[in-house]
Amino acid sequence: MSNTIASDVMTNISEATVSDYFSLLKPKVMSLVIFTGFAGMWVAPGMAQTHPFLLAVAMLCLAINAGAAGAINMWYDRDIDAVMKRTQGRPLPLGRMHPSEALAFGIVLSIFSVMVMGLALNWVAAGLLAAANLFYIFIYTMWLKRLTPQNIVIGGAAGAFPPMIGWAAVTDDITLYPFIMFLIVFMWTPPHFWALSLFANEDYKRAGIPMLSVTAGARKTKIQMLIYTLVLVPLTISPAFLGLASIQYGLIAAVLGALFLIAALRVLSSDDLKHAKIMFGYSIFYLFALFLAIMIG
Amino acid sequence: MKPLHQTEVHKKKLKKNLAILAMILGFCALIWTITMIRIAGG
Repeated sequence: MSNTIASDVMTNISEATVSDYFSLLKPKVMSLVIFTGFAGMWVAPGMAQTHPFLLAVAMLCLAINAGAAGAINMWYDRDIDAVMKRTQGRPLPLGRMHPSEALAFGIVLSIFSVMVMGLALNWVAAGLLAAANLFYIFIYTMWLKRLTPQNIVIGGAAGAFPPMIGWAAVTDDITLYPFIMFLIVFMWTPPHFWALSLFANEDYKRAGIPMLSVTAGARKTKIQMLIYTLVLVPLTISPAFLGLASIQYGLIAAVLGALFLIAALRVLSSDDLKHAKIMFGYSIFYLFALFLAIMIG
Repeated sequence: MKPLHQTEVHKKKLKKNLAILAMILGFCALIWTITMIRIAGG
């Protein structure tokens, strides 16, 4: 009898370790969020007058909030994560954690990060943080992802918030420059994700996610990637023309953009998936390098 | 049969509770520090 009770208790106790909880936060995505958020903060006027501890708190809130949205995304998408090779190793598909634990973890961290951002910095930044979180969970994850090939085009807005949040954390306001940074990440997201979807197409097909490469085919996806890249490149150079960044920044953005354009053209002109993989890898480097140039310039 | 405090179940629960305790203490320290900085005009 006591053995039965003990085994029943065991099945209700989570097998999850600290690293499982950490992987729920999607650390790779978090690093990009932290970096672009920090860039927004760095170029904001008045950063030097803000207490360094509060700036660190703002970065912590940004990171935790992005991670929390990722945890809720993993809770909602646990069915499709289980059939996709890329995501099968996550804690929920592996059964290492009860779904309700992941959901509770995500909700608690979301509320915590927004409240602390509001108390430590200001409520404009906290409001933007909450908007990014809710957009990612409700608009992208629950609504668009399984509905339309435009899922990552509109849903990409969620990932574009961090530079605006970083800026608002310092200035308590939003102006043209943080909005341009928002647009840069927004326009960068489709070619980045569509490059991934080209070589992970079978995975998306199996999971029934209507990525553009699944619904419209590789050729149309590659054309769309090129179109978004053609819009993105002048957009990244625009801060130099508008007097918001230096000419040196403009030159760096032009060179990085030309390489991104070449990568998109190579993807379009070849059926070899290695070019899509190269473009996907380069797109990550591109965004890091571009925001580094924004910080320097 | 092992006493309750030596079972795997208890060990796992203890680890989890200690982690939650550390997080609550960390949260209190964070809020206290933010308050002190804001009061000082930071």
